[in-house]
Amino acid sequence: MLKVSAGDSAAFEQLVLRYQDRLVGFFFHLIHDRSACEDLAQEAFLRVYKSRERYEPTARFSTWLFRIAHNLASNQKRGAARRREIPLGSHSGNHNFRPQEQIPADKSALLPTRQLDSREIRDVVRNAIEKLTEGQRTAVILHKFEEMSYEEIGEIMGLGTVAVKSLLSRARGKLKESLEKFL
Amino acid sequence: MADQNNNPEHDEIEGTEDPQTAELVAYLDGELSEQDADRVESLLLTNPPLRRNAETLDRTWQLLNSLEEATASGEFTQKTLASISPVSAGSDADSTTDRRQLLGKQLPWSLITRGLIWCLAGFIACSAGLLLSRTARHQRTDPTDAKILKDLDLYQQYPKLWRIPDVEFLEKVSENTQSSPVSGEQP
Repeated sequence: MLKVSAGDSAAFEQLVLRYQDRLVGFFFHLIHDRSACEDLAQEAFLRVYKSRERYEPTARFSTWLFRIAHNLASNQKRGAARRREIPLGSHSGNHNFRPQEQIPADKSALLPTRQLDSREIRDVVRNAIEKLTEGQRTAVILHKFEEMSYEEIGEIMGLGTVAVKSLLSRARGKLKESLEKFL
Repeated sequence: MADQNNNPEHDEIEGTEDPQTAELVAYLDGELSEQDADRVESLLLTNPPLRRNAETLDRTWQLLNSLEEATASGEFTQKTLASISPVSAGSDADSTTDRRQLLGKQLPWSLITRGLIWCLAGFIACSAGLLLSRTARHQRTDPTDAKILKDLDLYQQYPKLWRIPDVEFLEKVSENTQSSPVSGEQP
């Protein structure tokens, strides 16, 4: 990133290559729309580039990058809520997700002996994630898939470590309630 | 309802937090100090319901591995790099403007005033030099030119005068002209 700050274009390309999958994956877990999540990831890199001269290596670059991504996701969610078009976490895009009531996994879960296939489990888990609040969902994704510590999550979300601990505790409690019957 | 669920502030006020679960989750996440982790492990050994709760929390967490992952598409890198090109070009233009502004800042008014004074002094010096050269040329050519101009009528009559044999003839003509009227003037 220091090379990028100094105007090295090749270094920026390396940065994009190194972090693009993580960033796209982060947005995808939040909005489940490949096209939209790539747009958001691109916007995040654009913001990184625009603010490259203000970057100070006081924190890990990944923390800084995900803070930008978190802000973008929050703004997108607020904008979508105002427009009432594509609420964050809704099923949209080219994945053809279905409303919760139509998911066979939920219905079949009423049958205790039925074994769920991997796709049904995935749908059930996704629904459980979507029942979380935005903050809980972000914390879960950062901790589970980005393997970030409470401290890093706190830096990204602008929270203290205790607040992150509380957020994740509630999130895991909710997930347990939603998924316990499928274990 | 969706808004309420997505409100970040709602996270802070939602429900009551079970301290034991929070401690257990922090233990499973590896976020406890060594001392606190030892304490939780002791509790887990002696408390079967707590152990079952920990196992359920852990298995629930493992279920999240079934979620679909996404990676960037093949053209993502090129698209992203293309998106920064206008920004990059803009910043180059900005830096040129900055350089101009910097140059403007580096040229104080005293320097500009000094330049104008030097230009004015040069103009005055050139004008004075031109005037002096004209005067000098005038002074240099005046004696000869004045004599030639004075005798200009004589020079113009030269084709007629060269036929006169000598000066005495002219004096006689002059005397005759003074003593007797000219025939052309007779009535």
